[in-house]
Amino acid sequence: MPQLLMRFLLLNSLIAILSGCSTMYRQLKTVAANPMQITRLQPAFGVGVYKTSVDVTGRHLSGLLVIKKMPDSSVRVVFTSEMGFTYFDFQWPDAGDFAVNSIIKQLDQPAVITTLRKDFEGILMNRLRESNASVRTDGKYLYNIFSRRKDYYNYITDSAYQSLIKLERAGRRKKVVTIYMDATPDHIPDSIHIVHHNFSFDIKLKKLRRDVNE
Amino acid sequence: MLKCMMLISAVFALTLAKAQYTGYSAVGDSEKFRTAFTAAAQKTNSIKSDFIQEKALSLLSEKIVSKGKFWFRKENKVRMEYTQPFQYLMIINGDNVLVKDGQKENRMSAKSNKLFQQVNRITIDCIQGTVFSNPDFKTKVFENNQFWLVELTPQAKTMKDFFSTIVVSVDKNDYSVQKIAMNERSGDNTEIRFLNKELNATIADALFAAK
Repeated sequence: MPQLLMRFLLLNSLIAILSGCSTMYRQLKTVAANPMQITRLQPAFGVGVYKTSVDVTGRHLSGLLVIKKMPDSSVRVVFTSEMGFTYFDFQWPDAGDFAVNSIIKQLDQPAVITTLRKDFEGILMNRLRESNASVRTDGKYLYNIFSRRKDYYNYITDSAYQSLIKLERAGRRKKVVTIYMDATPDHIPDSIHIVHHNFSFDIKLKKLRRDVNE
Repeated sequence: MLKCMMLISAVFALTLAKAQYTGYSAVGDSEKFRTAFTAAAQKTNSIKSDFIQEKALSLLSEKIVSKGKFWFRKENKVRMEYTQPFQYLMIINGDNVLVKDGQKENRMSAKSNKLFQQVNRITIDCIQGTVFSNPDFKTKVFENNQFWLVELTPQAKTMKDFFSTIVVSVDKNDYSVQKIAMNERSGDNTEIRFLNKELNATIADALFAAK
């Protein structure tokens, strides 16, 4: 009976691994590594204030983006215009569902909110589960692939998990977004660049010098 | 009895007003202020000043402070140039708007963006003294020794969604705008203080080139 159970579990794992990977990454070789090692490169946003510019389908929008880890361990991301008013205020509780605290009517579209939520979840690395993950390699880099519903978050690192080369989010067949975060000793990225591949949507964040405290 | 009730109501109203803005009392008849403010604003053809903007977000214990330069010229030309801690330029010249964010320039028509038009009209209306005739706001006036304080409550839906009130401080000496505070429904607010004001200085056309 235990042998039967073991076979069943192994078969299930194999099916999960085979079906649980975007076709984009299938040619990569699987390696025995703990994908959760990626959390060593998780950005440590105590509080970060970023000058932000957004180019979406030929239109340009800019402002300040604040990312802050709250005392209850939730993370809030607030985007305001330079002149002051708030475009959106998103919150990720430590455990529980993502919440939209506020958003202006012009941006209040499910597709916009979902896209931004997925982009920031990729950056924050706050929804990673080991049970949905695998590590692969192309011989040079490690591909730490986490599946979540229909999405694959692929954190591409050097073999020693010293630096994050880039993050890709893909669907079953195509890459949807690439995110570049530069590495800093304090693990707070100085700049972040989000490039969407399925439509013209580009977000650039540049950290402002510390004019605010936590 | 009626007199007593009226007195109690008046004291209560005064206390409320004082509680609303510490050190300020409500102006019962604001007509005198309105007339004087509008007359003074009509004599102001241009303003050149520095500004300090403080954005208070409920999630941050300290404010986000930015600084820059402000120019205004009649009838409706405004240039706001943020220089610290980021570069950002906004020029309004009639219906034309130019926004320069770093190296990126974006031109638009204020007419095509109702919200942008309304938000920026606040600044122009305050400076030109036409804010009292703007149907988008209900106004209340308060005062202390140094300043008049004009509370604008949005009436139009687009503005109501953003701001609970906009409070403008006007200097009693020259009726110039000292500070604009925009209070959002969420409790966050943005305050813009105008410093080193120079009234009626010559300002070149080129500064307002928005086309």
